[in-house]
Amino acid sequence: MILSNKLNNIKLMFGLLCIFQAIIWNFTSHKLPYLGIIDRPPSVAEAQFISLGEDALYFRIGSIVMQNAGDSFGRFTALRDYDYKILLEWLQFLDKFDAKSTFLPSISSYYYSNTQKISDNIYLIKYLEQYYERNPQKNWWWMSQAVHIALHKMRDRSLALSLALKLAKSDNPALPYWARQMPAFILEQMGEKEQAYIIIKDILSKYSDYSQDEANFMNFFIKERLGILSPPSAQ
Amino acid sequence: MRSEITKYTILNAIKDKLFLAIMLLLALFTIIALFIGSTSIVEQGQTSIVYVASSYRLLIIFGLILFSCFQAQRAYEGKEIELMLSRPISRERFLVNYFIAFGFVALGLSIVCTAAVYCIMLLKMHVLHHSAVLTWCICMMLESIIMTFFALFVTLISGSAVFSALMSMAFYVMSRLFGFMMILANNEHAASAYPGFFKIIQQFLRYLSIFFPRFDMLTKSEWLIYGISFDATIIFFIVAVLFYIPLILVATIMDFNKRQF
Repeated sequence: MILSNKLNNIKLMFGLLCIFQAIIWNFTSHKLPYLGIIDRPPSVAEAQFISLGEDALYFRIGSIVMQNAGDSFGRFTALRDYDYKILLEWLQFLDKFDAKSTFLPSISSYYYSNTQKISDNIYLIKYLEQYYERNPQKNWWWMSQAVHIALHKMRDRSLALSLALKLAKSDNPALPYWARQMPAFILEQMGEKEQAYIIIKDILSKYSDYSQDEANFMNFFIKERLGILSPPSAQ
Repeated sequence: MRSEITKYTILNAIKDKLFLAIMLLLALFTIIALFIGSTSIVEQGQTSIVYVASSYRLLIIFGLILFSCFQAQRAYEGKEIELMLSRPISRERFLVNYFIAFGFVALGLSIVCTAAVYCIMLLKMHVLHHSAVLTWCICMMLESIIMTFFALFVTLISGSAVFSALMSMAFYVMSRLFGFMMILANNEHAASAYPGFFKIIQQFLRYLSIFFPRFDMLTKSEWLIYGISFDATIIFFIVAVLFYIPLILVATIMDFNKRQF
């Protein structure tokens, strides 16, 4: 009898605690954790400690976080709401953990450059320029992407021209002719046809290993697009 | 005797479901790594490989630590060690055989882990760096053997599985971080800026570093992606870590000889 009373009391207490728990849940379930879009990166020393000497793993985790920042837990955040200054800090920070990967320039060029706030692209251009400077022989593609972003997304021709000139100056033998011709294309859009002509003429006189198609294109560019009737003969 | 102890240890590992648990978790980690890798916009293969290799390494190391600690404690408490020592075998020989038996388990798991990484590399990577995979495998073997031996060493000294498991895990984390400790220990600018206390810390770290293997220089998953450029440093670190194995063994023998059964 005493035992059954004790059991009943325990059951009653359990029931009351469950009700109490439900009441608390009613108040707490609306309080959700704050999810920011992108926080400031930690210090390099702190990150190296967390990575346990495995920089590659830290880089890959950071890359996925960068890729999905603002879009986790079913959220969708417009790129205009991102703080691109912090994004640049993250790009520069993660580069210290894997300088060979092309993941970061890829998401900068192909994803983050689609922001509705076009002035933010300046941070991406800065990053791509830094990435190029680290290894101009290998990273020329990303500089050409910087030119593309400046020209077509920011519509800043003078910035695009300065970047294109920097790229064209490279003595990299692997740099394709279209990359060397970029300043001429931008100058053509700016109406500076004489200067564009000088650049193409310079390429024609400096190099001789271009294909017939490339030579034909340069002749076409001078004759048809720049309107100069007597281009110098190619090859 | 050696083959008997090896068989006994492997049977215990099977009985403890170590291999089953490792295989199941390897499969789970593979699925998670491949999934995370596939969500990457670019370099999907590289991302998967890094996740796979790093998670496998941690799984094997922590699995072996737990197995070794609890196995050794059980052998102590169940008087199995006393039973084995009742046979005509010296304590030193018994310990060497006992360690070798656990070493076989560690070796086996490291090889399985490397084989799994290699299979995923075949699926996901366009360029395979065979020398890097081999170096990664050798380093993985060394790390797992040293951590198994260290876990046995602490368990045989302390007699507590929980204590030794926690100590071994802390030791592993410290060993993976000791490169950064050495940066602190050799930072002359900080020493001149904060003389006194910092100098003491530096000296402390310098002496402490004698007892820690430099795991931070081994088993890097970036080798699997970009390859490895062999230089004297890597070989030197591998040899340096190799010398750590007899050090643990001799330390255990010294303690074991003092014990009374």
